[in-house]
Amino acid sequence: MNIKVFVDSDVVISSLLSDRGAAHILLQSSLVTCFVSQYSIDELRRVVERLSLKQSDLNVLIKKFSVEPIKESLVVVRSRYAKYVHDIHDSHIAAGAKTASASFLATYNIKHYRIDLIKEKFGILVYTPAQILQYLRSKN
Amino acid sequence: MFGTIWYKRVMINTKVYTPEQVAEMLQLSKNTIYSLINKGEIVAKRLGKVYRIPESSLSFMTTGLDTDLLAAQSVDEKSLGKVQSAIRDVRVNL
Repeated sequence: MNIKVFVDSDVVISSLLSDRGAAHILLQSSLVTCFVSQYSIDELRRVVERLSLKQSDLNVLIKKFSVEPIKESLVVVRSRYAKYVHDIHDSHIAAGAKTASASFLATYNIKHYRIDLIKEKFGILVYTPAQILQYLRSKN
Repeated sequence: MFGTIWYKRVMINTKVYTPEQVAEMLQLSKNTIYSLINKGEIVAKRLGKVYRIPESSLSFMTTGLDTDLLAAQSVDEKSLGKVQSAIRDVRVNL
């Protein structure tokens, strides 16, 4: 059974920038199911535009993801999940991982999350893509 | 002085271990290390009849990652500054 990984936007964008990076390898792995939220998708489209990347490449990637909608508004998400992050603007990522019932949150921004609290309250491990790949190796 | 710095850098980058040393470091038997070398799980260089293992092959001891995964992470890290800066700007205005 695939492991459920909620992916932060820096991992998605990194995978668009290089097919040799750990982010790309993780997102292409058949051993994981990747999740994003509607807020992530909105954010990703804007970041892709800002970095002059191709929206079509992002669309191809998003089609592979499972989109787990967060029911609360961004304002509610930010108040409810603020304690799980160091910067309130990262709240929707923690909320998305919780809503998706993910086992892992893949990010390059580990320092921005209160990883011990996320692990304790939600049972979600906050790892870099390479750490998740290393975990997959240890399992197989 | 420049020569000394260059020498030290080369020495650091070329640090190698014997299978016996690695066995002790990893608390494994010597045979296990040779087995791991044969399976390719530890990348070693054969010099005549002996093996030498570069420090870079043991990256997981300091990073928790295999050498190839560490390299793959480094690829992403090259662009991470501009990626995270762009995300930060967008996130504040979501």
